[in-house]
Amino acid sequence: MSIEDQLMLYALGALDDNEKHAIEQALARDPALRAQLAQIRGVVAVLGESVPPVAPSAQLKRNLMARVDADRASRRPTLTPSRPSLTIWQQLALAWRRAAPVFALGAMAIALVSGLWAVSLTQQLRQVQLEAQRLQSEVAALSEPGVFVKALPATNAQATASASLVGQLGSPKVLLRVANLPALDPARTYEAWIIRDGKPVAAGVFNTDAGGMAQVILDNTIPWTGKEQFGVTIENAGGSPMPNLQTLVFLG
Amino acid sequence: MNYMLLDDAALVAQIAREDRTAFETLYDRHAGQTLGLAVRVLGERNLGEDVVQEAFWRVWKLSKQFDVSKGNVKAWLFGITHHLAIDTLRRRKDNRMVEIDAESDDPDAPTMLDLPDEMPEPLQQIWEKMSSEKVRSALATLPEPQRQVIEMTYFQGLTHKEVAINLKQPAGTIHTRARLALGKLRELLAGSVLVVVTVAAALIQIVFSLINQK
Repeated sequence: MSIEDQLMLYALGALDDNEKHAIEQALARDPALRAQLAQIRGVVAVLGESVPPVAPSAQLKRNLMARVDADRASRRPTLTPSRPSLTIWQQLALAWRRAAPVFALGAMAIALVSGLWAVSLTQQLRQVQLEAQRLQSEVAALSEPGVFVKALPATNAQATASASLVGQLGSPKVLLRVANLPALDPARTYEAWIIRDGKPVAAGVFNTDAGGMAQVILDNTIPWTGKEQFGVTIENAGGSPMPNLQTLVFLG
Repeated sequence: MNYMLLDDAALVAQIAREDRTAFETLYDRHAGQTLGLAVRVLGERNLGEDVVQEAFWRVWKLSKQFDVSKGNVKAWLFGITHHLAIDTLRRRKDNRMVEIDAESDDPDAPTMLDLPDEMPEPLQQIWEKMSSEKVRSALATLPEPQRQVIEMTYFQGLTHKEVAINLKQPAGTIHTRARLALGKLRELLAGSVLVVVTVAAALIQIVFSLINQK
């Protein structure tokens, strides 16, 4: 039997099971055979048109559509609540709700820093107030009769340093203020001298802080007359009985 | 969308998108003719309805494989219906349990007879002009031996060997008669199309002649 006859009989439904199986295997392998079969089937199917139609029962349609509905339902993905589309305001509100904890933490941090800063500012303000009170006291003191302020010239060794002496005539105590004077190592010290009639008398030792500042009250035991000279030298720790003129810092 | 205005190919394209209404429309349009074919083969309405249900179910499941530009829905539907009806008939003859939907759960592996064809252009023209009356007329013009082979194979579900035994003819003779019958049928149907086209062309020519004379 030719392949054409096999295809024709297959299209007519006239092959037995074994023959049908064999031609289907051949068709599966050969696209040209399938095209040939399509030609034949196109004519054979026309035969179906020759029979009179028969009205199907309503039950047939119900059964078929129920089957289709079940299939559609099984293919439909499981519905999950879809998120409705949001307006721009709703999106902003949602974004705010999401960002709110971050903003809250940030606000807390800012509040904490601000609080600490405020405390610091309060402390600084308090110090300034105290300084102002002190300055007011000093100004008041300076306005007292006999009070003097004497600037002490620096030698070339410490040209950038400055010093002043504040005292009151008739009083043995005097206030020495220095600035820009480098701090010394522990083995050495600054020593103040009061020179009366050309003779230096040790008035006290001191050292400056990290900023090069110092403020020392010196007690001379002898009332200040206004004719004295004042000097500062660098000496060994503990002070010296006589000033080392090689290390003179201030004299005036 | 008015589904009634859609042709069969457009409906199948919609069915491929799981359009229930398109499927229902296609069913309403062709269920009667397919049931007529199934009952003609099986000689029994109930089994015929089972076959029709299965045939449409396969259209539903295989619609994505249908090429709307090349296939013919009606030919495809008749092909499936006939194939299922013949299988059912043979199971019944063999006293086997008749289960129409034996293959329905595996639509991804259908037989070749279930798959839609790409119909050649000449056949498309035949199908476009098809009517039951034309086919019956064409069948009636076939020589009786040829018509008899078609009747015994396509409508009664006999194998070519069974036909040869019944008619006491060699198998080769049966093959030849079947081949000649289908060839003649094709010529007759194509000819009817040709006649329609020729008559239409002649009418157009007459109309133009009348216009020119004026």
